Amino acid sequence: MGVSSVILESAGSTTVAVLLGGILAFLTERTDLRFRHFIPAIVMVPLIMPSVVKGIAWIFLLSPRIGLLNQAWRGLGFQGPLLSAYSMPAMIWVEGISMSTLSFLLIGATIRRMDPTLEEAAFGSGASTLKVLARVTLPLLVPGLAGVILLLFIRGIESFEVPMLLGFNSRIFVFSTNIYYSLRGTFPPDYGLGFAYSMTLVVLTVGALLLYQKTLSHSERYTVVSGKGYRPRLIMLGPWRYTAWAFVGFYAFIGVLLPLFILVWSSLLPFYRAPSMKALSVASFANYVKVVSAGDFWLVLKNTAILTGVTSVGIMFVAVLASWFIHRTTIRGRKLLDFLMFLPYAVSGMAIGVAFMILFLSFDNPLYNTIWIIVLAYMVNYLPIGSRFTHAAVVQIHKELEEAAWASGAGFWRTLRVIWVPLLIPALVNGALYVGILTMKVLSIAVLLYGPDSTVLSVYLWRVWDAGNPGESAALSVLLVFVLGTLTLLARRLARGSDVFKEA
Amino acid sequence: MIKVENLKKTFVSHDQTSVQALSGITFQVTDGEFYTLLGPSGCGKTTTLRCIAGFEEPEEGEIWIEDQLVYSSRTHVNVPTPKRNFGIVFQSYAIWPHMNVYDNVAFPLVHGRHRVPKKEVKERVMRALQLIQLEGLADRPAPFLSGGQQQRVALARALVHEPRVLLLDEPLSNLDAKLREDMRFEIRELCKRLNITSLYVTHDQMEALTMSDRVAVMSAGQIVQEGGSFDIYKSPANQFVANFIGLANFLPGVVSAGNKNGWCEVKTGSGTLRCTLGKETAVGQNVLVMIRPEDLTVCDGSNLPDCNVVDGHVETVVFTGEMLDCWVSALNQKLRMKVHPSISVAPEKKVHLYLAPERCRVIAEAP
Repeated sequence: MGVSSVILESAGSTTVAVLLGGILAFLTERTDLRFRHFIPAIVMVPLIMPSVVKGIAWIFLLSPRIGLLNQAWRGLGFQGPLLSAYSMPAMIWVEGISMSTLSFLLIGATIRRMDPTLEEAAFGSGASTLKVLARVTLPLLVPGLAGVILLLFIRGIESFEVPMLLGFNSRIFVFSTNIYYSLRGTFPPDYGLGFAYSMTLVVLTVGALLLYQKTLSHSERYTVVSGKGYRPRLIMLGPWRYTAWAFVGFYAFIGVLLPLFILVWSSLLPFYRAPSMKALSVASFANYVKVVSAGDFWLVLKNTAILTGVTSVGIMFVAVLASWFIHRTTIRGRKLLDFLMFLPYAVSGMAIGVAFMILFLSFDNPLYNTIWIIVLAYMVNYLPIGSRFTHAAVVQIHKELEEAAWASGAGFWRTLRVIWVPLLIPALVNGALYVGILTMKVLSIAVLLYGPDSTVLSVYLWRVWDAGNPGESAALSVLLVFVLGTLTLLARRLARGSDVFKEA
Repeated sequence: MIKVENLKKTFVSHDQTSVQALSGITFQVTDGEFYTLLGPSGCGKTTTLRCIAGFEEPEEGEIWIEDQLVYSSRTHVNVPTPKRNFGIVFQSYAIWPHMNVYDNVAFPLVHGRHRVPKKEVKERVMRALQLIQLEGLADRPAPFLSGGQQQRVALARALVHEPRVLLLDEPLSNLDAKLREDMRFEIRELCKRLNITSLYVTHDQMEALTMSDRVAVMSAGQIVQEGGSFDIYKSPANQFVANFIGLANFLPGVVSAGNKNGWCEVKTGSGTLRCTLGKETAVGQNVLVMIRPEDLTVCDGSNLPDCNVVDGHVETVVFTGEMLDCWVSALNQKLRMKVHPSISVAPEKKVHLYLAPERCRVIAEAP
């Protein structure tokens, strides 16, 4: 029923992600590699590709017979495909690359949290670089790394897009795809089965998350916050720098260039074929024209705009009020509110989708099959993320900043208007953009709840693909990546602006 | 004037146990006086200031700012902060990062209880900035100020509406040592020039001693001693105060005779010392004799005073520039002694120590 395959897929992709992200994080944080400051930028680019898009790109690359890489492999004189897209190893590979960005960020943070003086003390006692790495650095990082691995493992269990795109052909099912097929893939839907799958998923992820919290509290004992801007000693790579550069280049190639290239290439062709001069002669924008002139495209766009806009603004509104109650008042029940806000974090999006589906089927209401039920579900799902932005912002506003306003004689509402709101705006805009990007990217909830008139872009892309239009779905993917890229750039620009406040 | 009467406040901590933060604080700061609450962290000094500002609500007591009764548990008065008339400087400075220097300083005049016409705002802000010598920085965004400049802006903002009362909550503790020393004198000088009533909260004894007209030493939610800097240093009320302000040697003993003309004799483990009497000591009572390291002197063998001379054995001598910081074994314990570098003391040397009777204070043992 998918337990073994979900664990295999999740464990495998976690390993890939930790290796890729871990090595890149280590190179960035702790070596003297030239141009290492560009690594974060390279690793962040895949974020603008939703998992559906990544899955589609890798099918273009690894499709057993016509996939670009497999054709190249045969061109070199080998028998059979290098790797079939519709296999467990391919699922592990694609999911692993997909999670490597998160892995890079988390491991980088773990490395940065370590107090460099602990290492310097070891160097000072006369230990060699290798000894220090093995005896001091690595043991200090172990608790933090354990937490990272668990978190990635949970993400792997929850993942939906890659198993759905790659696993279906060879009948490899995991929890999330089982949920989807029992509720939307068969007729009549088997609600009992779907519910059972999602409950198992919840138990699994909540259990893993509890374990994660435990390792986290362990690892905090290891962190020594020095507070001084110590730069840790950088490791001289020497001749190894060529290997390091090759590794970074390899990552940029498979993580960014290859998928983006194949998408753009496929979007220009009426039907997929490997890149060649002959194929180039039939390239055109026909697919884009077809996508844009399709009957429901504009409705889908409108739905997506509503979903993203209302969800992100709504979440930030709820989150800022909640943060306020939790951090700035002594009202009873604020701890409970904090817990409730965090709760959806432990439950995967798929299970939240199932919950909304069953809940809204069980009584008469005007919401079912409209965009609003999707909006509600996404709001619940991303409230913990939105509230993380507002929590951080509210905590950062020193209490004395508002007390200074009171002491100057400003009342509550004036303080709110002149002090609080301007100080919170950067965090609110930033959080809204971040949540908006996630909402636009993630397929799992919308795919359970969409109706004929409430399709959103991610679902639409999946359906166009599923209906057998690779060219059009490539064109749609390119458009989606373009929009997400623009929004991400905007968010980064704004985030930089708000740094001025943080320094204060 | 600030008047605080029998202020009481309890905090409930995480594990539901309650902690008495203030157990009956009473003091009065007279017009134009610079008054300091001094004590270790957790002694209740900041809580007292926050009650006066109205950020915390006490459970009992009365608070007056000038002639306004701002809090009274008896008559259920609790004036909200914006309606209380004072200026305040915070430990974090609390300079609003989304405004420039001018807007920060102008805030009380534009948004506060002392709104004035636009033209006057400009005039008064510039005057306030002049006071703290930052006229040139009016347009600078707050995040681009150094710690010392933020401190000055915070002062200007607190003073711009010309309050009669200024509250200062550890304003110097985030500055580096050199700047801190300069600002001590500058703040005091400014407060005195404006003849403003100032309440200053600090844990730094040097700040308290150098800036204040009067100091109240606090411990565990109570004022242990109140007085001028010199008096508190010279005659601390008990061992806690003696230890918290300056360095001190303590010799345990029993009062053996005395109470004549303010003198008494104390029998210690190895000999009798003639001491200045503390209050309320009776013959037979266990007491401590306190003597400051700089009050110990070394006598040459020929011309010895007729009392309070003990034999000592020098153990260590550290040269600190302006003095010699020594540890001397005498009276069965180790005594800290600070003497002028011209005095000849060296390790392993036998010396005659003179404990001048007027410098030996009899104080109560720590409870």
